[in-house]
Amino acid sequence: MNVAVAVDDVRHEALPNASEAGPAPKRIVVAYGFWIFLLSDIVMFSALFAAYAVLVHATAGGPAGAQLFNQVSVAIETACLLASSYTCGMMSLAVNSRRRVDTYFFAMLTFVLGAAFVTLEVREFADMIARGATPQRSAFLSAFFTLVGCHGLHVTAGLIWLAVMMAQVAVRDFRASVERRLLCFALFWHALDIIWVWLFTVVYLMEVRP
Amino acid sequence: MPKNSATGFVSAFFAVVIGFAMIWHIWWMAGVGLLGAFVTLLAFAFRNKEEVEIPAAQVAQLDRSRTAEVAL
Repeated sequence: MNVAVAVDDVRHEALPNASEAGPAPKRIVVAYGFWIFLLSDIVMFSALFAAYAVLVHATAGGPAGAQLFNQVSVAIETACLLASSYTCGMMSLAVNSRRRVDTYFFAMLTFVLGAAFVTLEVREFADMIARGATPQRSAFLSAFFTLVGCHGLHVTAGLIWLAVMMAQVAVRDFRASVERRLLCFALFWHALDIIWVWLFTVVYLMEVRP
Repeated sequence: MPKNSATGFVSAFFAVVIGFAMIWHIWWMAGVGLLGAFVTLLAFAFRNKEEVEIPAAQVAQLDRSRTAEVAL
């Protein structure tokens, strides 16, 4: 989304031929490097998804997903995360137009929604563990806690990153490096959201299928 | 050019601390390592000057001295 805005800013008639143009703008190089990181992250998640899909029925006589998952809580988590993706997009727009107050406001909304997601997830995990559904109980639960926990850790890291970025905006203003980091943060946050959509489908929706 | 930085060395140090602590289940030490790594990251993220510019004259001078060495 932001990359498209940046490309629109480039004057097309002034572009020299590729071999004479020199290095690409740093914003493009940074976003490209960050995409490579995101893709490697997605490769890792696909391995965890594959492990989960293989082990989902290996409950070893323990509880299965249908008895453990609370659909209402998961629906609220999903709503929080999807809404936080929207507010993150609004934050990117505020950053692009250098509106400091709007940036803080939407960053705060993103943070609160993300924190609500993590809180609900931790509560869900604690509830499952209290009912004896620990990661040690069965291969299914090991795969479940690894996959969902890994996503939750990513969201937690994203929250810390967002807080640090707001401190950077406060101290360093919208200098080029801060803007690039905010761009990477937006990419990261949206990627986590996409992973959650898969996760929600594979783990929670396919489990209650008749 | 990107400015020189000790961040890589310092984070490698804390990575060793975290790795050692995690292997031997010394949780307080893992916490110290994580905190140290995070502070290093913050120090790197908040540094004021990120790049150094080498003036053209200095580049030309370096190139001349190198060419002179090669010629010897």
